[in-house]
Amino acid sequence: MVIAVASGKGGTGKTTISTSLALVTPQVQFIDADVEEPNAHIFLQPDHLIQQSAALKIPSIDLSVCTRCGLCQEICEFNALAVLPESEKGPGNVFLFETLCHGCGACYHLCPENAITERAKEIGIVESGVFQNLQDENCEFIHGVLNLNESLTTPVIKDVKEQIDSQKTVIIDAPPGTSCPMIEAVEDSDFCILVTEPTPFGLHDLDLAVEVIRQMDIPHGVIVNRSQDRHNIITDYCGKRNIPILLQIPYSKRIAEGYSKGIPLVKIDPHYIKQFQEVLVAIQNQPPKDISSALNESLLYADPHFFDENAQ
Amino acid sequence: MQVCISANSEYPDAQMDAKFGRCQYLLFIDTDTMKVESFPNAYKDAQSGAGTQVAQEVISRNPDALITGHVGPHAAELLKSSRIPVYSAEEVTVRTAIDDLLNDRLKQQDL
Repeated sequence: MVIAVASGKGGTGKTTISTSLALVTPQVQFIDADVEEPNAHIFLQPDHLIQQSAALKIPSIDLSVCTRCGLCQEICEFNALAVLPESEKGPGNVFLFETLCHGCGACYHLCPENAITERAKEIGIVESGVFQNLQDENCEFIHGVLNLNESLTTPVIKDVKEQIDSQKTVIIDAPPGTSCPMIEAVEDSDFCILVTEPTPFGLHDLDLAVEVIRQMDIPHGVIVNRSQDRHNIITDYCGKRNIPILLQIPYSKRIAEGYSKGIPLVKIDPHYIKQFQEVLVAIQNQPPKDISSALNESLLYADPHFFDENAQ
Repeated sequence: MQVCISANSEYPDAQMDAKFGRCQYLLFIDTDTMKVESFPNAYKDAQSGAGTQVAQEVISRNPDALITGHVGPHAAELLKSSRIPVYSAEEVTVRTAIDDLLNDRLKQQDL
């Protein structure tokens, strides 16, 4: 089963949630798909890391074979090619603007003279290693790292996801936001956890993420991080839209301090082990209609008396 | 001579458009006859690479000079290799810009 952890707004707690969920999951494979700023390795501390190059296939044009017909330029969706025709000024030229190329291969396939070959342009790396979950199992950890100065994240995310082992329970820490990188990361997941915080921005961006996830037809549930009241703008929103709340994590300075030291939530406070195990069971036992009726009533949180005492 | 100029509308009341890749129109003017050919810029709303395509369009018509404002790095690379001189102007009327060019009042861009 593939479980993605995403959000609309950044900084809501995807890595906090995904790493703790992974630590309580047996036979887990962890995928950090936030290739622009991977950070899950800080919490899971994988070792035995092996690196692989993540490359984009970009065109290489043989000017001696090229007839300057301009078809490649015409077909390029991203305007990455410019063909200067032969003239009295000279033999003309073909310019490839590498930073615009998305590696789609259209020019390569359509050149009538077969003047184009593909060459690999490294845009990042994929690293895989091993970490220990709380059951002391050796579990696979994979992340991608986009090279500095590159802006095309999706091919690296694709390469990372190619390592998915469908025999395992796969947890994907997605990039923030609701555009191409997030969509690439959560595509084809069996379930998506949307992490948010009970603030106006948190709600606004959760709504955007919900719209995207619904369009992608992925069953989903919400985890509220840094919660201060049992009933809040997020629980209201989810209630109206019948979205299950899987867990609420109270705002806690202790949790923030532990996070700043790179300690996973289930190690800062082992009470959360049981909470995350219950989240996993709820997800594995979907369909979401059942989660909705069961969990929306119970609203799981670590300390049953927290909201009474309003402690920090 | 044949002069190309980026413009915000069709001649005769056009003003020079300081944007090159995302200009509204490209005007090609024969300064002897003052005959004008105008082309709306098909690439002005392109997600990326507008400059690469507009530069290629300009170069393929082989003007003797180009008058524009800011040229992005990709368009600059293409224009530099074409050896068509590129002149800077402010957002004055096209007539004024052409007049300034013919009277050596415009500065050539070092692409």
